Amino acid sequence: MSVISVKNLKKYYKVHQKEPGLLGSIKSLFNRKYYDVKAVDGVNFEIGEGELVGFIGPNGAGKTTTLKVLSGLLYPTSGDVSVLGYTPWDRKPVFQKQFSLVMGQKNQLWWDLPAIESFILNKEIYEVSNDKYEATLNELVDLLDVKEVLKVQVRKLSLGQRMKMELIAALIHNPKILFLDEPTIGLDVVMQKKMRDFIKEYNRRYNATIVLTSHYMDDVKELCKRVIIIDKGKVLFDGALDEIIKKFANHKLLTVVFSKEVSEKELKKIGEIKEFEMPRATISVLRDKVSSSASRLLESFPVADLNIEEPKIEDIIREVFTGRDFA
Amino acid sequence: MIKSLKIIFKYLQLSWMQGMEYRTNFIVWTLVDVGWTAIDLVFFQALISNIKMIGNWNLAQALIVIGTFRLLVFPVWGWMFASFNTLPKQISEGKLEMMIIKPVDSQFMVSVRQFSFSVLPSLIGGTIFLLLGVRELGYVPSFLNFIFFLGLLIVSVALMYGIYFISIALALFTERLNNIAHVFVALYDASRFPKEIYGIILQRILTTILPVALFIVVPSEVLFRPANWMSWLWFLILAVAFNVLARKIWLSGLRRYSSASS
Repeated sequence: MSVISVKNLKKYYKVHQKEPGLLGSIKSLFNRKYYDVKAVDGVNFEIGEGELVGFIGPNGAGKTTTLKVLSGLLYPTSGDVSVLGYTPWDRKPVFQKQFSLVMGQKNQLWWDLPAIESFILNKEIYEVSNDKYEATLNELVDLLDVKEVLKVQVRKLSLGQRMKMELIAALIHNPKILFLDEPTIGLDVVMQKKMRDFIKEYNRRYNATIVLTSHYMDDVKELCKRVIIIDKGKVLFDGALDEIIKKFANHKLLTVVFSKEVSEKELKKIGEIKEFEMPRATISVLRDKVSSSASRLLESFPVADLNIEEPKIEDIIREVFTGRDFA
Repeated sequence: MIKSLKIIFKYLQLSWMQGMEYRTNFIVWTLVDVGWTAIDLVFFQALISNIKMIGNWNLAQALIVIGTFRLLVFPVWGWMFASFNTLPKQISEGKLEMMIIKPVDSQFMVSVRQFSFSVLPSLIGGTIFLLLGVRELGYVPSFLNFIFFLGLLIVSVALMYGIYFISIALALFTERLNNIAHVFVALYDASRFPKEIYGIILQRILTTILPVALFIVVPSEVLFRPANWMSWLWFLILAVAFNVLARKIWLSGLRRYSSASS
């Protein structure tokens, strides 16, 4: 059963254009030329209860705008959106009590006070009972291992500790849906891993539906079985992570180790050379020509070792965004 | 209602704790408020000792007016300015979001999220001015007068909130409206003067479209003038009208709100 349903969602912004220089500024003071930016342009998807979905795309693709519409922060230009059966931008408290939005670059904690004070404030705002609050807080504090710093002023915490506290503040009311916008941004690799472990565990323990945007492919690879790729406001792909390879990668990679010097010119006849540094080369070849290309390599070159691999998902996605043809 | 009171109480607590975190800052601003209160007293004393009447107020009446002004410094500076000061900047930087996704009315949330206690001396100073003024009157206003005085103080706060909030909510319609929060407090400063010092046209404006001249005068005159029901009713109508308008502008602004890029 889907808890999030998005049909033909569009969100356009009016942005004014300014000519360069002082004269441009003076002109724009009196006469502004506006144009529409299609931040989200006809997006459709459904997300089921308990799913952990990765929402990926380059900067300006429309990921955050979509999340903001789903959480009721923005009114869409058009389209139908239902989250837990509610229209998000109606901003009904009964709906707002059931989700949370965590943005890696924005905070809700009181900077000068210990994070525990912000948790108590959220307890009042979300009308969490004392027992429930204590139980949830203890559980989250244990999971994130922050007991020692609970009473330290937020401004004195490290970025990683602060992000953990932001998560606790966002989860103190036990939301059914969690929107995470770049939750690991700026964190070191150790802290990124801890955050991922926590998100995974939270999803497992509470069957919470989680929509995650991240620029770090490790986040997506480790957490999400399903990904939605969005670019220029449109969904390019929606499905299992593994299917990205089938859909976008028409090629495979042959990684060869040579036993003797070989000519790069000759090697180019096999396929597109991705890397070449004796004695090792990586060659991209079309999927349906993998066998014949491998045979030709073995026949015509002094091959010591040969591996046939799928391209890395991050490479595929990067190439999708840069508009490369995979044929 | 109970939930709202609990939230206000929590914000009061947090603001107090935050104030205590930076003791020097708190002490300096408290001293500044004491200074302003003293300046008010010296200024009015100097005026009265030279000209006997300000507008149509004598010393006692002027003291009551200045006392009322000082009392209302707390809601204007200690509550409204403290909550509104950074709001336009937060709107332009997209930081409003964490407040409007909460299951509480967004206008309420942005209106009660910060308090400043460094203006507490104004409450004390205002009370002293009021007591001095009443003593100077030569008679004690009736209990009913004091009840109306308190009632009209509440209406005055509501009116000021409506006007102040409109100016802040306009930030939702613009990309940037920095320092707009300072405009109202500057107007508030002018509210302690009798409207007679302004020309006729300005008087009309300051009692209707921008009723700055009524904030202090209407409640304070309850203590030394005969009941003026029409004036009180007009005061109440204005308070309701400006709050209805503020609400409409806020909701309409939220619809247009485009946030800021992440």
